[in-house]
Amino acid sequence: MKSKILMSIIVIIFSIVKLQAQDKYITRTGHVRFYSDTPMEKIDANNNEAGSILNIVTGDINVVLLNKSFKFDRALMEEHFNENYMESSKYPKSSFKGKISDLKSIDFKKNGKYTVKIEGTLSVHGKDKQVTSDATFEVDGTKISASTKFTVTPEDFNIAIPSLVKDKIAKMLEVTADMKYEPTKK
Amino acid sequence: MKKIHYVLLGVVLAFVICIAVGLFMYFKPHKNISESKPDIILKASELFKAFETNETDATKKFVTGDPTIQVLGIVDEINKNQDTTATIILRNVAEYNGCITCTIDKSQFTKLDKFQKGTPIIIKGQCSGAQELVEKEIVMIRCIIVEK
Repeated sequence: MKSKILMSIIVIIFSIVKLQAQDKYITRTGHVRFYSDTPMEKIDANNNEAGSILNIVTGDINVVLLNKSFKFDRALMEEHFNENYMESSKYPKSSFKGKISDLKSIDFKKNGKYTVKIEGTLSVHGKDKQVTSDATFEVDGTKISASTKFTVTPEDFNIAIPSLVKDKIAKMLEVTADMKYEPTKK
Repeated sequence: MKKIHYVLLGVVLAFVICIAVGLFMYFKPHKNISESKPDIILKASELFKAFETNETDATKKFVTGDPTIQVLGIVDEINKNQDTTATIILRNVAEYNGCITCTIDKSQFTKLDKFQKGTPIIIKGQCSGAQELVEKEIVMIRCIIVEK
């Protein structure tokens, strides 16, 4: 009897360990874009190198990216973004740390599209901000893709826009993120 | 009377030059990586080691001022991205837990056929730094594949 209990405990422990190994999904090529549109200027910056981990058991989502990986149409915009606004040499990274708040509404075993809420902390320019946003998760076999869209303001992150260019940068910047996750190897 | 003309001409000229310089700055193109000579040539493992040893120093050397960097590495993965780019992952860094990701655009796709997991590759691009999730990852952007 005792050995049976012991055996089942061992089996449970092993299965938990094994499950945990498959809980995590990763991408190194996440797409994060921010967009600003005013009559004076359109700004469309894209980062295809964002890294992200999704844990489907806890619902945790982590995203990190390098500000210098944002690509702009114009070289001068990119220079201003890195040197004047984001101060990329001082604050090279931006990140998001959060979770899916209604994790139960996604069945990761069943293919389909699910709309959920995510919440967490966005860290940009050395400053943190709480954000909540709707996100769409699509489960397709072993692949999971996630996308979300929300708005931020430069003031949220202590980024001062000089009055000379105030009309060229929208008050609200639109941020979109698209992640195509795959199960972590090993 | 004549003096005023000269002054006026001077002012107009200065104005035109200012506008020309302004426009030139505004429409300044991105650095042409394929035509620029590499400022730094090294192996993937050397680049990785530099970031592993001292990230601040490595950032100063490889990121600040956007030098053109040429890296020799071994292809681990090639992934087509959601837009018109692809990412080549180099993993010639046996003793380190990490990789180098290099983003190329559509113009490089025709060269991709020659490469697969395990083939050596020379990539020229700009480094935007190191980020870490489960492992350290050096990011290279605006990359082109250098043909021998």
